[in-house]
Amino acid sequence: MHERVEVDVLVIGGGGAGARAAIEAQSLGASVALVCKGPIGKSGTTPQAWPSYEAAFGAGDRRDTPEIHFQDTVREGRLLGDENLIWALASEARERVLDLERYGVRFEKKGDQFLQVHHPGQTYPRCLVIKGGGYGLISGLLKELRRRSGIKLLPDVMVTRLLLAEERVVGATALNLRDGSFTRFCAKATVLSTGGYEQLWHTTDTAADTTGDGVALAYRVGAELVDMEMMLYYPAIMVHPQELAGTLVQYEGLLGPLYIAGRLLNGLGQDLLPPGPLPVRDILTRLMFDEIRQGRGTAHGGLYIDITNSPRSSAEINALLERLRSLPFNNLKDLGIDVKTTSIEVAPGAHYTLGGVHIDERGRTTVPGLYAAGEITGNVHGANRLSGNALAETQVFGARAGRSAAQEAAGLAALSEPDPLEVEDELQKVRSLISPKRDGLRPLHLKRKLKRLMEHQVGMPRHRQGLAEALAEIRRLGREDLPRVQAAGPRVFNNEWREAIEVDLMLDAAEAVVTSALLRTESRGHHQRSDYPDASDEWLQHTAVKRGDVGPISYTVPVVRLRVDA
Amino acid sequence: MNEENIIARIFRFDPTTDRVPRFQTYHVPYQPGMSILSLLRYVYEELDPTIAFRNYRCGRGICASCRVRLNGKPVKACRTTLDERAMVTIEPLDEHRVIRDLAVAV
Repeated sequence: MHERVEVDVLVIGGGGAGARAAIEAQSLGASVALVCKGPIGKSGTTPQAWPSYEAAFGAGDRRDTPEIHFQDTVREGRLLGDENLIWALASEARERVLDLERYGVRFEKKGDQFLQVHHPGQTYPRCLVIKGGGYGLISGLLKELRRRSGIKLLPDVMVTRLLLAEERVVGATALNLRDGSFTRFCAKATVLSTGGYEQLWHTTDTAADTTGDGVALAYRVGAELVDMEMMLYYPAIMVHPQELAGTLVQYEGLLGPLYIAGRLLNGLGQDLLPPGPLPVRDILTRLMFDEIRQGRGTAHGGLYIDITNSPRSSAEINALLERLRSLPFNNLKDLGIDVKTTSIEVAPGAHYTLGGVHIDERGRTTVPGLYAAGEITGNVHGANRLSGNALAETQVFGARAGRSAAQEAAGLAALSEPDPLEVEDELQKVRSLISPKRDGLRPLHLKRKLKRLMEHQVGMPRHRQGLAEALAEIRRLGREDLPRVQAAGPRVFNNEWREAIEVDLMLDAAEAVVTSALLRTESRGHHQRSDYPDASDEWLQHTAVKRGDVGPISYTVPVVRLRVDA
Repeated sequence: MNEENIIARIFRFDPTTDRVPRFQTYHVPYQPGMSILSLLRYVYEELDPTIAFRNYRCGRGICASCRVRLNGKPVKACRTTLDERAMVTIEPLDEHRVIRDLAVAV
């Protein structure tokens, strides 16, 4: 038994990209359903994002232009981003800011100009500061979604499978977490905007729901995934005290010579930062991992950020902390920690998923009827990402995917139906997750096993032997542990049932990550191999993975180049 | 039972099967700075997989998806810390429909 819902455009994922895609599709006349596995506006990564949004308005320095934004992004992505996509990002980021202002999102201003601050890797100061951070962004988008009739907002709905008919995506099956019922969506076009897969690792600042569902859903219908090995580490995730472990602190503001100019110290109290500008994320992460691995970390396996000797006055530091919002200041205060007198312990952790579903400049995946936007996509940034390009990406590519999906839907008369047996099989599979099993295994425990494995064998740096062992172990977990997964009984709002669906998808995402990491025999950006320590020009191409009959098929695809003169 | 335990009385109610709500008591080991959200996560992970609550943390104390009532007063679970040996009552917000236990239709 299931409810049937027909729409022109189905958007899966309620963060910044999904919200923007829904708005765009609706504005072109499409009927839209936006589904999210938690509350819309309070789920995924957007609400917890830092307030940075890159757009070359030139308010920080008049010489800044979209062309320079493009060049910075290409260079800092270690030449691995598709340049057609980077040009779309750099050339449209500003217009999307103006849209956001119309929706009611507010930005910090200096007089009548945007405040634009400098982050590592930018030629000129380019980060706008969103009032209220990522939560401010998604709250504005949510208000706009609610203002528009024709967008059905469906919170607490978890998509379990994309449905195919005649080799195109024609909708999806979903579990309604609020009552345990099922829905079958019939959609002329489907947009995936479910975010990244940071939760495959143990140390991460991301919310528990970033489990890579959409990447695995796309993979299962044959979509091409690219550069899956590229997981962006953020250099400063707190590792102690326990209550704050997994909290990000903005190292750019705390350590940047233009801002608080604090120090990064090892466990012996030695200064680690090289002279000159602050290193960008991949370089700093490598430096930190090396230091920790060589036994010079803190008692909790991290390093210290110390602003007690900052050249700024106490008042200046307060003002900068307030303006840049570099710290979970109130949370620290609750625990009696004053950062002006005490150093804090941090380590690099999984922060942003660079790899993912391959898209073209219209947001199309390699599967007809299926679009993708935001962090789920794999070929925008390359091997590293500039601060502020992620939120810009949600808006630029959300709008593009929403537009393409609505246009395609408008040109389609009727849809083919998926095989009803396939639908029934899927619902049966999901139902079976809450039926009692002999030797049942909690989904949480399988997740923990996987996360530990990924942390130990697929961290930074990696090497062939560890990756090969990880791949064998992931397959063993899939074969032996996954069939034992059993969630608790209740049908209504059952966290374990959701986690059981997630862990099944996570194993596929992990297999694709490790397959790609084995294929890329070089070190570039956020993929570092100890057995191939240097970057190689031969590897100026994407790794790609597709589902084959007996497992992933891996190959390479060229990076799209574009000439843009500054 | 450990001296440092927190005793939490938690509201339980499944509108599809229960006629009236009940309270269930859990003993949770205290951690310095422990928040209500950490306590709920401990209950879910170690004591009772059937407990329903919104297990999401924005990390900034701003999204408010974790809001519950603590001893009758609405609080953000992630930003409300507990004392050693605290005895607390945790209930769902009363301004929204209860989906199950502490999870409400926000």
